[in-house]
Amino acid sequence: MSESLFPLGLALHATGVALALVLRRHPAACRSAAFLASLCGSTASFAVAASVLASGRSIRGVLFANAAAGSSVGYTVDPLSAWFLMTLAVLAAPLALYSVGYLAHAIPPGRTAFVGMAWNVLLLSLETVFAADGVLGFLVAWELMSLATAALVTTDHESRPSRRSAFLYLAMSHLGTGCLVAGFFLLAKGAGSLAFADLLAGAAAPGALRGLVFVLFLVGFGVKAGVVPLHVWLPEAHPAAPSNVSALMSGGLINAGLYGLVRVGAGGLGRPDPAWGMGVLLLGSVSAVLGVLYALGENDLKRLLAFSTIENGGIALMAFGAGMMGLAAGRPGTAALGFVAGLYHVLNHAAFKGLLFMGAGGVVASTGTRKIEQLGGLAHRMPRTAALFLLGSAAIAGLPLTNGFASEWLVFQALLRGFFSAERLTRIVLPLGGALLALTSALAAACFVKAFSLTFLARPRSRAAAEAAESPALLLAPQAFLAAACVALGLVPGLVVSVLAGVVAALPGMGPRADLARGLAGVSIGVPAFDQLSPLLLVPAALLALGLAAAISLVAARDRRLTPAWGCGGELTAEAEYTATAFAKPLVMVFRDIYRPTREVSTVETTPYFASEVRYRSEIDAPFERHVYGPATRAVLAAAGRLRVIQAGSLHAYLAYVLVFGVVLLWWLGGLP
Amino acid sequence: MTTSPLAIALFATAQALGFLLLAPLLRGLIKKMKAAFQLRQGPRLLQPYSDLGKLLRKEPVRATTASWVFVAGPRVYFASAVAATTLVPALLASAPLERAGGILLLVGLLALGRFALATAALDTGSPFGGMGASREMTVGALAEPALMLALFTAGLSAGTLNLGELVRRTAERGTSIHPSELLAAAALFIVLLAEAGRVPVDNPATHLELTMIHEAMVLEYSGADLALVEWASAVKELVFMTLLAGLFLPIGVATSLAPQALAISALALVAKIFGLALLVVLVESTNAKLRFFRVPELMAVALGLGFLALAMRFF
Repeated sequence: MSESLFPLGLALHATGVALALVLRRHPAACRSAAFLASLCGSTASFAVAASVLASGRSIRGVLFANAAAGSSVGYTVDPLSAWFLMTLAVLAAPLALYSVGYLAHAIPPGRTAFVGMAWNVLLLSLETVFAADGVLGFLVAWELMSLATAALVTTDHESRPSRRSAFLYLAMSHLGTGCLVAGFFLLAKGAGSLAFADLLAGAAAPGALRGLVFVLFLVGFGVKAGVVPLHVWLPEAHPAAPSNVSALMSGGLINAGLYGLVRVGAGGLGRPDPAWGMGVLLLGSVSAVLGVLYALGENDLKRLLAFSTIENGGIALMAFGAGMMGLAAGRPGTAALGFVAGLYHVLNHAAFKGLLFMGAGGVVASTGTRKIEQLGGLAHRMPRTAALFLLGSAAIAGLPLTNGFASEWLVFQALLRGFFSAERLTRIVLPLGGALLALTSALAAACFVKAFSLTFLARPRSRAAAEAAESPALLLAPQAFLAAACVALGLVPGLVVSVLAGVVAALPGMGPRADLARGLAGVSIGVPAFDQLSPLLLVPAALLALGLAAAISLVAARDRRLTPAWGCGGELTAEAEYTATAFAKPLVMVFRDIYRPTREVSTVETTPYFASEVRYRSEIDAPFERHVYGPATRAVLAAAGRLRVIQAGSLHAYLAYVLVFGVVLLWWLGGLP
Repeated sequence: MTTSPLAIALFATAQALGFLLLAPLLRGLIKKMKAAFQLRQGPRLLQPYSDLGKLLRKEPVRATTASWVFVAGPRVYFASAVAATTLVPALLASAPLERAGGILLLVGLLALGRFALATAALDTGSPFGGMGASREMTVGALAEPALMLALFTAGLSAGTLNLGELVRRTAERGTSIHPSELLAAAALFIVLLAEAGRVPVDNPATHLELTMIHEAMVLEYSGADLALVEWASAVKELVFMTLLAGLFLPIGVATSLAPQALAISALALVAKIFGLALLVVLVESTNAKLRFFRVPELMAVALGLGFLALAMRFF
């Protein structure tokens, strides 16, 4: 039965597309039908993934077969595919419910069918990407995925920034796809087959080209994973889309890139070179630190979350890099730890980033703005959204008893265990990576204190924020589901790790199943124990301490007094509040060599003594856009300008080109002298 | 050591209560020694207990703009500090809840407390709270890599990140005066100054709003709310000192429950904490508070020390 379940899921998404098309004149019905189909599709996909993860046996089948050509496109859900399918389903199912409520107000009714169709196409293609068993199916699904995403980014196609973001996204995607095609061709040429079973089983890569193939894959998958410096599209495209789509892009789409990197990095091209692992670790560290720094400097709530996606992709990459270094050094235990940690973080990121984007979507729907400076005070107007967003913030900051802590703990372990197995001089990078991860997670804490507090606390700083209303239950229930997932995944790391040990052991070149779990709730690293974690043990202590604090304050003071906060003798207004810019200012100053902030202060004077108005403008430099992509774009445009010489507009010239090209082609193919 | 749940619960409760009862004394001791250094008489040794008692009798005043986050902040901060006490080995060479986690969980709990208090500080809308929160998170972010690197050095050289195991192995091996240990201890001491809000990073004695960090963050708190914050801060400082003593000077730590061993261990711990307190007093009395934007340089020094410690130990 489970053999037909995967195609059934795809068929349900296809039904969603068809229903959206048929019901396009009735937005409300169209919304419900399209997203209900999406929910069912995700449920089916979850069931497939769960059965594969539970049994450890892969499910195979055929999607299309062309008898005349003798070719077919098939799928294989192996444990790694299943892990990514499950991650996607955990995010996409609550998002489908959220979308029904959210899209009613977020987009013009006439565009409902468009979003419903593109959404289902995106999920269908993502699921196919994770399960494709050959190059052809994979690349077609990959391309479909990019196009569906670009379509969703242009939902608001009247706005120029949206169109620009989509264009940037397409350009970067195609750069990536080009690299993937080249990489697969190089592989296929050696293997004489297009099936992943032949290409990515660890044997096909030709010796001399191995390095080139890996770099091509790293760039190709790195674009989707948002790896710095290939990330430029991400902070533009993710926030431009409606919030439900942003959540799916941040929590689901970037996983496509990470999935590919695990496929090729974890033994897919044979035992990796030590330099590959080191390179991935370095790219991951740079992405993590720069991602969180730019997130901290950002005052647009959704762009902040998008930058934090780059950070979390970086953290997963750091773990994969440590795993690859372990694999290169012939230490399967360390290697397994790295991949387990990274894959755990991928699932956790889907949970908390989905939660945070949904919360941000609720705020945007209710206030009409994404600018943190114009929000504030929403905890009084939207208490449930605030509480859920706070939980998501704690999880993404990696605080104990949440899932973020559990996976970051494992990444630390992967880096430190790797220290013992790496070569003498190169191993210093591993604890240094640990220090960078510590910096990242402390900066993430600062970043999300800012994101939560300045959005939800103190007084509203605009009329829209003052008049905000709580999101309806249809928007809150999916957030509560993911919040529960954030807590649950943090409390039973043993269960997650034991599933993941099976996933990792099934990868080519990996050793026997790593023994990491201690029951459902505990994880233990190394024998004798290098370190162990069981957060559930701490829960009674934390609850008792919390109870003690509550008891102390209950016994101590009988009365409470409410007064306005002290305003230095004057009345404290919303203008006097600390702003998001001010909150991040000390860190912007400390890291000014990275941010290169520019500021302009101009005073409008009316009397010689008092300025009536001061204008302040400050901006953070975008170094990659300015110094890498700017010159590259100009070079491409200049080259295109030169090529215009042969594009004369004359039909005769074009016919001549065709003739010359045909002759050259025949000569080359026919081997004429 | 023993593993029955009841024994663990008793051990954890006893240790947490011990930390809670003794932490204000540490504050008093530092104040008294500082006063002696400045040829003042200073407050009584037990004054912090009276202060806590006074705060607990006063009614808390809360801002009208504040939400439930403002009330939750000090409680979570307090709970995280108390939970942290169960993760450090104090008298015994084992921590009550060492099976829950090691160094990383301890650092995570302290980060949780900081997160809760900084979030709550922004709730009243008073710019002082915002300023304090912003600065506290800045200092915390800069101190964390240094803290981790120094702890990694200790953990990697002992081959474990579990604090109980770490202290047992160090005690077995005996205190070494390997230069890397000294450097790592120095790095941790700098982080201690930052985490405890001491000169030269912060000044616990000032109420000049523009210069302070921690005090600005808790400016709007009063009554029992403030008592919880003050108490938890003292516990946090004692936890840090105990950790530093346990990691680098595990002389006299009891490895059994024999009364004699426990007595020796208690005396040794008191002496070590006294020594560290004296060191804090020396630094506080002979240094001026650094300008806020010079603090990153101090943290960079700590990070550099941590890196050197690691490099010396393994290369």
